[in-house]
Amino acid sequence: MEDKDLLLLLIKGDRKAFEQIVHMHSNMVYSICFNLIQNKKDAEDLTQDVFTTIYTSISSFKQNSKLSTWIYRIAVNKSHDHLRMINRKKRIPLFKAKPIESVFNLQTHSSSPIELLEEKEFYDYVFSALNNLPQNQRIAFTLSKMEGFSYNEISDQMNLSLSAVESLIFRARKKIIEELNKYDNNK
Amino acid sequence: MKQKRTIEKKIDGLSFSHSHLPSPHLIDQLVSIPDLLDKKRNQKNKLFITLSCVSVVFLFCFNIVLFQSQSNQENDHSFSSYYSNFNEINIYENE
Repeated sequence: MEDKDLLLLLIKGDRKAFEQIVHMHSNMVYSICFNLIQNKKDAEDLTQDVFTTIYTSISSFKQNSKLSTWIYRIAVNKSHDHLRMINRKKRIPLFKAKPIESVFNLQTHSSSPIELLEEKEFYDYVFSALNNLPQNQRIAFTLSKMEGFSYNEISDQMNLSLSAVESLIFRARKKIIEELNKYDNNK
Repeated sequence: MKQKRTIEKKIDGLSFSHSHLPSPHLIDQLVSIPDLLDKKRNQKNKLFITLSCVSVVFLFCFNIVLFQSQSNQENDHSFSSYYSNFNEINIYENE
């Protein structure tokens, strides 16, 4: 079934169409939320929130972009809001930080345990460097490292121009490399 | 310099995990979102209807009480005027 047909059915409130959308996009929505938030439980809650928004506000979709882009934009916006809320909470010491889970594909070519440990340490540093980035840079960089997202798609999802996305990713990459160089020099 | 290049290569080759897929339990929950929303909507409607009924009954009772108190006041007023007239007549008669 094409996007347009699916959309028409969804606007009419067809359950089967919604079910199909869930099966088509839930993996990617969950991946976006998890990679940006780095917490399984919150990513699940956000995924539910995203699909609730899709169901309730499908009539407001203006069809200027692909349905998938609209869905992923909702996921990015919700994650963005969630990150902002976490940052606000961080300033209040009463709230405990939630455990962060690894979002990287550890492509280990290391043979020895020492190399494996070094590689894990490297990813930990990338991880902390990523968390110290400004939110927009972090989101753009994360999306660029997710399979299948081109710069054009990222600019659609983040509602930014292509050049703005390129500059965000470039700056994020530069900062992460700087951080890792510092770590390498200290070693 | 060589180290820097290695780091750059590693960063460029970085990819975020796709092995974290939503659990089947989550998919079930997502699929049942329309039912959940309908249920919530029904509950809201029921609550709205109940509140409307309660407010209508309250207004009705309030009006009855108000009407009764008004009619009592009117009765009192007519009785007192009658009584005062009666007194006046008595005074004239006595004179």
